[in-house]
Amino acid sequence: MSLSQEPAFSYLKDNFVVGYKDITGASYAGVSGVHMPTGNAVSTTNGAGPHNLQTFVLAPDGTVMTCLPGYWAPQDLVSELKLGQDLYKVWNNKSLSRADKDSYFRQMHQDHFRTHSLQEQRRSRMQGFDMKYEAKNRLHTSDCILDSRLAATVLQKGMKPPMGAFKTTDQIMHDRMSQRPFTNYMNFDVVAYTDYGRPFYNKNEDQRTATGEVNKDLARAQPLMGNVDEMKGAAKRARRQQQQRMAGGRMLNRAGGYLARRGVQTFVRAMR
Amino acid sequence: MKRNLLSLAALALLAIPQASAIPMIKGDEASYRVRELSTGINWYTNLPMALQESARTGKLVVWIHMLGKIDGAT
Repeated sequence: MSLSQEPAFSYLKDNFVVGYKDITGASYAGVSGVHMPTGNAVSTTNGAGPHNLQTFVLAPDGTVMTCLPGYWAPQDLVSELKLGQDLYKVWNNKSLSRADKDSYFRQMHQDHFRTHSLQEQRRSRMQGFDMKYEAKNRLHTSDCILDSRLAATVLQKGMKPPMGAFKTTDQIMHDRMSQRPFTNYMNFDVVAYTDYGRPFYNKNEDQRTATGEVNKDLARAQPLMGNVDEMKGAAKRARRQQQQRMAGGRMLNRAGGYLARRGVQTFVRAMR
Repeated sequence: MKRNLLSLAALALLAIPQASAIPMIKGDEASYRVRELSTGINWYTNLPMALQESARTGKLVVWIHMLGKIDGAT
């Protein structure tokens, strides 16, 4: 809904060629309730529903300047679109080497995040159920978690995580984009890029009472769209990946410790 | 003193986030906005064509991945 709101609508219309692709059935797509165009709509937080919606800014040659995962508030969306235009000036600058361009790309994404206002950071708070998903399934390996001890509090009933436990979604976005300087759309790893939070995202817009509460019976009965079958195994896969990464890390540490004790430090450095 | 305490209590009430309903856009308004969005912008559904238009006009492409259709169920 943010695309139809100002200042996003006019900025898109006047400055961009705009298109879309229905990702229903794509391997990286999430799951959502079906919303008809005549249904209600609600605002949500920046970066909510990253598996169901991605907004790319592309150069004419298909190079990705930026990609916004999930919903984004109109004013914040425009600010990110402007960053995309600034990055294109760098990409298009023939006097810069590729290494320089990549360096500018990383710097500009990080600088942009640092200029986000406190209000924007508040609008970019990760959804509670996404925090729980990250803490439950990859507490020690998630790049969305700043402090795993603090993040674990979200798993206790009725507890909210303290500040500094999780990154905000605007930080996740700019951090992840910084690792993908001037990547072509065809090579852009959407799966890894959008992988935070649970694959199911739904605000039950049409299953709410007049006071805004969700009617749970109606919510349970509503039809779903997207990768419904894939969703069932997603949490299990995330936990398995975490176990594998941690087991790999432990093995490397054990092997490294054994060799280091025997003075083969160069070997350890090479392994790491 | 009593007035001051009352003022403090009022301020405290203002400072506590109230449990309110999520701001909702009703179906009629949402439907109007969807119509405006889908007809007010020329939407490409073919990326190579959008990139071609981008090269011609010098405008960047905003390419959206979404579940569903811009003018239909999402």
